[in-house]
Amino acid sequence: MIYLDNCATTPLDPAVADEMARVSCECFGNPSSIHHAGRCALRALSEAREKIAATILARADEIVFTSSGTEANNFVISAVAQQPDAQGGTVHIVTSAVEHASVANRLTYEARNNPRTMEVAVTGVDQQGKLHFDELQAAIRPGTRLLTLLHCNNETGALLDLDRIFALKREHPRMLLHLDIVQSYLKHPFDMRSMPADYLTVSAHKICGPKGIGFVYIREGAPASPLLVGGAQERHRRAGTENVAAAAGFARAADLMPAARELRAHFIALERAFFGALDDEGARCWINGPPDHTRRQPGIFNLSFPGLRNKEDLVIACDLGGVMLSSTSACHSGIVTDSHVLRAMGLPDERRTGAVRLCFNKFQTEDEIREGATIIARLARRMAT
Amino acid sequence: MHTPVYLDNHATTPVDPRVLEAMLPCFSGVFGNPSSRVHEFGWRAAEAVETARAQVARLIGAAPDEIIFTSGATESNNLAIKGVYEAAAKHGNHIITCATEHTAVLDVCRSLEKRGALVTILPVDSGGLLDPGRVADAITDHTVLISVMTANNEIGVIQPIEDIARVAAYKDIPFHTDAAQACGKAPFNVRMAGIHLVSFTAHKLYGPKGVGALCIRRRPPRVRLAAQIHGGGQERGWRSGTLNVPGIVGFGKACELMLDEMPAESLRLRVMRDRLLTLLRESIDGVDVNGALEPRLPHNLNVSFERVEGESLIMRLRDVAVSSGSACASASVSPSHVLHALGLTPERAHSSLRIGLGRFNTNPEIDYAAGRIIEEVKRLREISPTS
Repeated sequence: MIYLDNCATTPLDPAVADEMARVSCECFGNPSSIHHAGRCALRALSEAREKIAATILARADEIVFTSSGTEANNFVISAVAQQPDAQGGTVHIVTSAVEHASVANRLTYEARNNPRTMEVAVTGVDQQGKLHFDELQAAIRPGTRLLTLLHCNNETGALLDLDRIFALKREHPRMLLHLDIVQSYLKHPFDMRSMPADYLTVSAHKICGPKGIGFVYIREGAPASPLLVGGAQERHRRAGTENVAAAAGFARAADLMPAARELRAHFIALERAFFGALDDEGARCWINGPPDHTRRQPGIFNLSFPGLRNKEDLVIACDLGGVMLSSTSACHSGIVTDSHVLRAMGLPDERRTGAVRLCFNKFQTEDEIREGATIIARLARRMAT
Repeated sequence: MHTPVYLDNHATTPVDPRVLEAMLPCFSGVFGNPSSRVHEFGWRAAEAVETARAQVARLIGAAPDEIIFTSGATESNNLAIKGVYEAAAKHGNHIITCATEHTAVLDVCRSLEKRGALVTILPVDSGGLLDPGRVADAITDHTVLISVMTANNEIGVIQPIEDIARVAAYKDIPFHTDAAQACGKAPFNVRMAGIHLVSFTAHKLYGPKGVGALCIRRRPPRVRLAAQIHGGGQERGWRSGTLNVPGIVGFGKACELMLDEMPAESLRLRVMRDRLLTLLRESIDGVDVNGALEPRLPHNLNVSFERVEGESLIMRLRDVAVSSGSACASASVSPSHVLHALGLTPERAHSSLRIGLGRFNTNPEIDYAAGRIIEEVKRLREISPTS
């Protein structure tokens, strides 16, 4: 089986499983307990936090562990929404049309609960998934509270132009900036000493780490009212007994990821192998999203094959043929709906119905990817009408 | 015998090796995202989650589709209380709870007060028990939720949940119970009248940290709940976020083991607990049990030692892991709100020790712990200026 759905989740690094089993046994205590078992757990948790903070050059107390990237995104939106506007005006939030459901749906929920005090502006994207920067600039007002954007799109791999976003943030220093970096964490360097983002959100299971843990980076001074209340854990920012083993596993997974530059070269080589194999099969396809690696995360891309009436058919045929991929975000896989991302890009019907999403991981080899591409190309040709 | 002896099983329990063994295959073989419904790895992960859901449901007598997985009891309590409050906004704003609840319940209620909720916090008697009659009296036309824990996390006292549930059912009010300490430790079945929402967690029953559940019963009146974490719509829209497959599988295994072993285990723990109390009382005077001794969780003992400061005692008991109260409040020096609610003097509250026995404790460990406690209590009393 060739697994090409690494945007949904990645296989756990075996060394991470070992680390989690070790911590579960050796440091099983509750980190809030003051006895030996509790202190051992607290030490494991603190070490994990230090290591995670170091990956983005942040301070350990700026990292709050959550149960997922989804919870981290919900935390940010909720924390900002809970902070009333000082001037008594509305809480104005700017976002894009291609966000992950955890940001988009949380914003909808907050706006519905606070119809008089909250306003959300949604910026569109072009055919390659690139943000309409002029539209974004026009949407931002002097009192805008939050700009929340996905750094690397989970369906197309399209990357945000961080330089322009940071310039915008410097123009509006009082506007908070949240970047969802779930798909680009460790693939792209983040330096919180120089980058002016106020929040970053991350999930461990996208970097060959465990499910059930993520983190939110919170710059000192940014709103941090908890989403979950009922305990003083995480410096009053997230209640609930800490998932120590998963935190340790997360840190280990981060440790075991190759350096961003190495990873980039690896993914570019895999992509070359993939498209080379498609060419060899004479397969025609479109890349939905930026074709080049300056504006797209290597190793994540979205393809349309001409003549495919139903993308689910190709996905299922591939599964039977030994290649696992997906048509859209896993969160929506249960229901066959159009991808909101491809719709926002304004792609024609033909492109949208034939689209599949592919994503590689650090363990994969060129041979494996070539084999997968060959199977996909043959199935796509057989199914085309 | 292994030291330190761990007697703080209310804070958290060690993971049972059989649970860890069940989790390990999910780390490699079944690594898929259960929401990926278009390929085999996704299906296999979803299947593992559904098996666990049935195991978890069986422990409390619920149906599998009544179980929603969360990251722990704190999240379950947040979802239950905020969720019901928000969904019932049109009907009322009154919540009834109890003074000895876990902070995860009390803090959620307090946070809702800022949003316009009216919260009645009912007192308990000197044994820690809530009178169901008081619950009935507190109900108004605006009451939208009653939340009372099944067993207390500090004194282990078991509330008359069935009677309170009956009061709630009579008035058609959703009833929530935090059963994090009771599940798997004392017989607990949601089929009793009127119970709608149950919070519990894996790491109190020898499962992993980071996974819990909220049981949402389908019996009438159908409870309406607003989701608190939004996104991909997992767990039928009630709780978004990629499912923690290994954690859930471990939770399922832990529940299965609990169901099999509870009758024998609770008897064994009760005998050890009673033996510990007898040993203490035989050797030292001024040993007072906080809260009613019955009905109480079989593995709980909360005692005060006259003329002894609890914190000093804990500090000296380096090789016996016990606590002075809830782990969540360990960092604070204020006396336990639970002991305060029993009407204990601050001196007595400050001289308390919470002891939580568990599956892996042995008789020699209990004898050792008793010996050490007796030794240190005597020493502290010798140097105490009031003696």
